Amino acid sequence: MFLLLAMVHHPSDAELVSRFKEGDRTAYAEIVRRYQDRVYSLCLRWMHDDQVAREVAQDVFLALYRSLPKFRGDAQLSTWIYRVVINHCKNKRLYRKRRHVDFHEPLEGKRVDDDQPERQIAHEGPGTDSTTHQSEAEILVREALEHLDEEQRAIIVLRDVEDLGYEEIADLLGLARGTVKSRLHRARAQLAKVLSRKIDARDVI
Amino acid sequence: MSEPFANEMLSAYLDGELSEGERAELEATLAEDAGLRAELDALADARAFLAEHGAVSAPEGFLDDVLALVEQEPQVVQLAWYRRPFGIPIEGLAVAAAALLVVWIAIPNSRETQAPGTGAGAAVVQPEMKKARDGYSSSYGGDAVSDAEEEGAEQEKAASEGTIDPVSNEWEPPQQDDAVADVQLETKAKQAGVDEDLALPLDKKPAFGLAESKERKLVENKGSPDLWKLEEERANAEAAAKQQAASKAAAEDAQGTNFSRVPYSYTLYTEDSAVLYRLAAIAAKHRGEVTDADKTALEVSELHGTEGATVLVKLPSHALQAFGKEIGALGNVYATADNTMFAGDPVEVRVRVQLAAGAPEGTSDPVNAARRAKEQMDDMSESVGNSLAR
Repeated sequence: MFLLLAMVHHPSDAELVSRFKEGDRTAYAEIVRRYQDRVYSLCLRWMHDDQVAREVAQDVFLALYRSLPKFRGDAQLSTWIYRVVINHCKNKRLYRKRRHVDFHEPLEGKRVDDDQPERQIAHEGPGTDSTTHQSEAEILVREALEHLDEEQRAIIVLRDVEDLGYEEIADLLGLARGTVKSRLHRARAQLAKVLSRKIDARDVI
Repeated sequence: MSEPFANEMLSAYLDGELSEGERAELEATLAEDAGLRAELDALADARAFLAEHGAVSAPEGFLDDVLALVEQEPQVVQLAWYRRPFGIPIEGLAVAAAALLVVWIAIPNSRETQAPGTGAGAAVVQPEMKKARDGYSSSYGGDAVSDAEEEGAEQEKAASEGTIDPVSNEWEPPQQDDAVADVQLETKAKQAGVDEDLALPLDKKPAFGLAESKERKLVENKGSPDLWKLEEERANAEAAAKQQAASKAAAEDAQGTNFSRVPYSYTLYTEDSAVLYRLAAIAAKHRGEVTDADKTALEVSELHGTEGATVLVKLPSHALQAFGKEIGALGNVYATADNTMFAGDPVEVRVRVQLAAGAPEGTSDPVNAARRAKEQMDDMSESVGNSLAR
């Protein structure tokens, strides 16, 4: 019975934060487990690079670890985490931009960063198997998102991937709701155009 | 509905973010416009595609990597006294602590017994109180939060029984047998606050702490009602101040939580090459980048004489204040904005150089002004201290 209760019990974010504040490290592990996919997705879509996204996502969770004791719970934990992700992504892009690291590097070929590992790209066409790192759909998503500017990309990912409302996106990015609405539309229209072109060309999905 | 406006509405329509009126109007337009319907379909496809394929899983081993990373971090745990037993905020505990001690005095009075600590009165300590105090004593040294819980419970109990109203702060002086009370209080003072009649074993009694210091005051002042009023007023004032700080922090939280308000963008007005070399030295010390206005990298030696030269330094956020002090010491340095920066590491700090003898008229910077004033005070204190030492 207790085991069943324990299995069914799904602690809230607030409960996890509270436990963490009291020194329960397993609560922190649960928070990471709960948010790792969302954080990594947002980082990857923003940074366009698996390795960098991984680094940034790790930085985000490290920052959370350091800051959680000060988290007062006035905002939702998820909102707070998204804000931390956005700040880290912005800082990282700025940092790399100043160091002349081109973010719009081609998906294939040599990496701009010499110290970065070679990127593994699935070959186009049939033959994609489980050993490849990226599916056709994933490549398509990446290529399509590359046609958007940073803000459009952030808005569309927060809306369509993370499923946030306009109000929350506006708050996170410091934009007016109307601005989010119009930019989201432009981003989605651009994405639709690119996807349509690429899907026609490849006849995939 | 005009076409561009209708187009703008399409995405919001898909997301269910239109008002009733807008939706009805758009649907009417859609019914008549095949082109608009085609566009809506394309947008819906793009939206569905991204929703389906946009999310990715964190790479394998990510969780373990993060946990290994934080393993090296010291864990910041709230001190036990800062916890919130039964959801009672810490600011409430100050009041609770004061109220508890007031109750301690008031209960014998309400039961028509003698003042606390007097021979007969102490023997008829209310069982619940005794139980609570026994619990307090037995838990002492194990988990301080239990102390706070007991205090909170006592406060609630006292409030519910109407023994004392901590809000209205009303006080009924206990009917004391002064002679007996004096003897008892002297004994208490000698025993450093230990009250055997209240079943607090000597070896369990806290050797320090707020409760004891208040009890000492009680001993010294023989339970003066004025003292307790004063204590309560002070506790209330502290609670109000903490509440105000909490509200401010909450407002910051609403903007993004855990932000530290420190400047990270400065402008240095100077034509003095010595100052520029000192800036270059600071930059070199922090391995900062030096660039010109076009963000082309400059050698440190080129900093001198380059209008708009910028020093960009990457710092951990905790070093921002110290860095600001270093930069501020150059003189004629102004924080260009009262920036709010996320307290994550690292932070990029820029110092822009303006070749001018001084800042333009009207430039004001309260942040730096306050800092410089403090530094001047520090310098004065230091020089006075040195003089005295000599």
